[in-house]
Amino acid sequence: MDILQGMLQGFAVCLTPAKLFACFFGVLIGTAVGVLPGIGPSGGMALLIPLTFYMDPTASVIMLAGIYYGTQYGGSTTSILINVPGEAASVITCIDGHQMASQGRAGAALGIAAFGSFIAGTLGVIGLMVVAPPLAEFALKFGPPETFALVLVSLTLVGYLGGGSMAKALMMAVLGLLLATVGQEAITAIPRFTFGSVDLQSGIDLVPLIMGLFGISEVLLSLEEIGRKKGDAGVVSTPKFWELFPDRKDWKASIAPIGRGSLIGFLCGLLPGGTAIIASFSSYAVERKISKHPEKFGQGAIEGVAGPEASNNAAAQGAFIPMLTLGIPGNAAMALTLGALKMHRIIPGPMLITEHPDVFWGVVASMYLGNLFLLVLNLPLLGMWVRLLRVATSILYPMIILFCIIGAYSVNNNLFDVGMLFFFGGLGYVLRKFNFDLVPLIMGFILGPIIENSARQSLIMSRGQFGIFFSSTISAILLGLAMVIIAAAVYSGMRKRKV
Amino acid sequence: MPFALGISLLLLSLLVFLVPGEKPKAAGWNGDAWKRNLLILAGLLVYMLLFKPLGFYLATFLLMVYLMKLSGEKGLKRSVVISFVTVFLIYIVFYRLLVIPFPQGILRI
Repeated sequence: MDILQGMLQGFAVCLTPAKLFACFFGVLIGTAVGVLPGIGPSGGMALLIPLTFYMDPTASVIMLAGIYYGTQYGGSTTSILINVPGEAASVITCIDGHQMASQGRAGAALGIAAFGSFIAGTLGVIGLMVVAPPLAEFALKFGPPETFALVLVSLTLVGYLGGGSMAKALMMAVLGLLLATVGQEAITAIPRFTFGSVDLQSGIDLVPLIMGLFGISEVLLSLEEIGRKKGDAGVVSTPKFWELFPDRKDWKASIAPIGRGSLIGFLCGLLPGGTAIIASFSSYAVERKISKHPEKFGQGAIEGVAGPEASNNAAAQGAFIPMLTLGIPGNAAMALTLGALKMHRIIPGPMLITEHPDVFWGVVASMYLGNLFLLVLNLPLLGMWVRLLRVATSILYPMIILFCIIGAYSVNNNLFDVGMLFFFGGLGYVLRKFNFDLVPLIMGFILGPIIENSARQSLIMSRGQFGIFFSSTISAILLGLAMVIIAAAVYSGMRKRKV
Repeated sequence: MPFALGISLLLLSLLVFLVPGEKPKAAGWNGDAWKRNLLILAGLLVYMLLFKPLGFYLATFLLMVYLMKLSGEKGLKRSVVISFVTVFLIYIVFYRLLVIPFPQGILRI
C-alpha cells in the first residue's frame, strides 16, 4: 500500500471524535506521568491498560502511544525547573537544563525542549511512516526459524544494553521466560506450573504483572525518598508564557543538535533494547564531543538540552517500528503495547500493515496530531503541570497504588489478580533493590511464547533437526549476531576485570 | 523447556555469585526506608484478607488511610477525608455510571 494512500486512510481513521479523544487523553496522561517523578512511561501505560478493554484496538494503541511519547515531553519540565527527572530519560536534561534555569533562562530551556521534542517527534513519525512498510515486506520472508533467531538476538541485545551485569540481565530474561510458561502450554495444552489453581490455568495476566513490577515497585522505591531528599536545589519560579520562546541565538545553536538528536534517537529506538534513556545519553555525549565549547556543557549549554530532548522523542517514535512491523517489542513500553494489542486479538507483525491497515496508519497519523497536542500542552499550560507537582506525595502515591488495584481487579473481576499485583509489586521492589534490571524480565515474559512457539514450529518443520536454524541465510546471520553480542559482552566483562 | 530455563537460571546465578564483577551493593538496604515499604506490603496482604468480608469500598477506604499515614501524612483527619472522598467518587463512577460491581461486604454498599 502506497504511503500517501495509507496516510490518507490513517487521518480518516483518527480524525473521529473517539480517536481524537483517545489521542488527547493519552498525551495528557503522558505529560502528567512525565512530570510526576516516581512513575514512568511503563507505569503510566500499565495503569491505563484496563481502560483499553472498553476501546477498540486502534484507539487503544493511539492512547498508549500518546502516553509513551507524551512522557518524553513532560519529563523535561521537572528536570529543568527543580532538577528532579520526571522520568528516567530526562535525567540528562537536568544537567544543563537546570543550570539554564538557575541563570534565569528557564523559559528558553523549556521552550527549546518542547520545540525540539516536537520537531524530533514529527521527524520520527515520518521515519516510521517511511521505514515501516518496506521493513514489513522484508519481514514477510521470515518463517519460524528466522523469527526464533530474531527474538534471540533481541533478548541478548536487551541483556547487553541494559546497564550493569549482563549475567544479571540474562537472569531476568530467563525469569521472564519462565513466568511465561505458567499456564496451559500452547500446542499440547498440558498445564504447567499451575499448582492446581484454576486461576493460573490461563497463565499469568499481563496487566497485574506489569502494574506490579513497574507501577507498585516504582511507588515503593519512590517512597523511600520521603524524608530523605528534602532540599530542592533551588526551585525556580515558573516562567510566563511569552518567556517560553527561545531567541534567535538559541535557535541557531540548537537546530543542529536537534537534527542530530533526532537521527540518533530514531536509530536507538529501532534497536531492541534501545530506549529513550540510551538515546538521550548518546546525544549528550555526541554534542559534547563535537561542540566547539565543550567546557560549557554542565554550565547551561542549550545544546545539552536540545539534543537529548530531541533524541528521546525520536527514540519513542522509532521504538514502534520493530513492534508494529516485526511484532518484536524493543523495550518495556512496547512490550506493554504489544500485550494490549494481543488482548484485542491483534498480533502485530509483518501482516499488520496489510491485514489491519486502519490500525497501523491510524496510529501513525495520530502521532502527528499527538505531537501537536503536546506542543500546546507543554507550553501554554506549563503552569498547570507545575501546580500538579505540588500535590503532596503522601496522597499521590497511595492514589497510584489504588489505580493499580482497580486496574488489576478489572481484568477478570478476580481478587486473585490483585494478589498477583501485590506479589509482583513486592518482587519487583526486591529485585530492584538488588540491582536487577526489570526490563529483560518483561521482555522475556512477552517474548517467551513467541520464541517457544517458533522454536517448536521450526523443529516440527525440520522433524527434530536443529540444523534448520542455520539453513536459511537470514536466520544464520541473526544467530551469528546473537553469538557476537554474547562474545562481546563476555570480552568486555573480562577486560574490566583485568584493569 | 522450563527445565532448560531452570538450568540456565542456575548457571547464570552461579556466574553472578562467583565472578567478582560487581561490588556488593548492600547500600540499598541501609537505613530504615525499606522497613516502611515492608509495612506497606504487609498492609496490602491484610487488605487482601479483609477484601471479601468487608467488601471493596470499606476495605479500600481503610487501605487508603493506612497508606496515606505511612506515606507521611500527618494527622488523621486529612487522610480520612481524602480517602472517603476518593472511595465515594469511585463508587459514583463505577457503580452508577459504568455499572461495574465490586464485591460487597458486610456493609452491603
